[in-house]
Amino acid sequence: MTEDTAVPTAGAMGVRDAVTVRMPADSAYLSVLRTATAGLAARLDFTLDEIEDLRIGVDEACAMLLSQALPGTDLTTEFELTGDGMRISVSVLTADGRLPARDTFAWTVLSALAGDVDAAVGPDDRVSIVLHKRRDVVESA
Amino acid sequence: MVVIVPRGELDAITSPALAETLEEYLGAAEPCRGVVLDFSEVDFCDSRCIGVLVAGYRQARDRGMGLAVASPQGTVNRLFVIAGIDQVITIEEDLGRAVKAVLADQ
Repeated sequence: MTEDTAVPTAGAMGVRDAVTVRMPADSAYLSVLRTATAGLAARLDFTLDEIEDLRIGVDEACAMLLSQALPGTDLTTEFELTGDGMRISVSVLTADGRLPARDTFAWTVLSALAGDVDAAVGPDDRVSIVLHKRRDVVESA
Repeated sequence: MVVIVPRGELDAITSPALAETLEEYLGAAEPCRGVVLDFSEVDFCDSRCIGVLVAGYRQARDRGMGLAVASPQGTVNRLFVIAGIDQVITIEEDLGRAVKAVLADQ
């Protein structure tokens, strides 16, 4: 499938290339977010394998965060185009600001697929997981 | 010998249903010879799904039953390999071979 629509370029005209998706912090919406992730990645020249990595990575990050999200709040996912890939930040409001455990199988899968992965706690006990997936660059002559 | 054919996406929401179905056969009072999971119609799987498969594998082994996965799609099989469960669970390209593997695994 090809599309001729413009693909945004990082930093073009000083516009920050970022898309934010907000949905209820409920795992019923996981599939919606996976679809959005795959759609955005497909527009950014990621390979099919990289798109799948991102789809699973976002799913893992969200599933982890949803287990501690405050009921009735939102899950916020920010997709930002960087020079060499895409940074995805997933965050939820929590009761205790606890970071996700890194000794779980889910974290192992996440870090194997998503490139650089980190977790942080912000104001109001907002816990976020940030994935930075770099595009597999093919040098052209 | 039972063949289970899950369809669609196996994630945090849907994987527990697969676990329940597996339990129905692997936990049965009178065990069958084994279970084949035909994954040909599963187009997404994550760590939760893999956890269910590994738990099923252990339960089958402990009860002297066989368990194999058949025909995973390319993207799903890629995750199996990355996660290393292809080293633990029998994964076959087609259903016939998976059935044979389970019947041989007694």
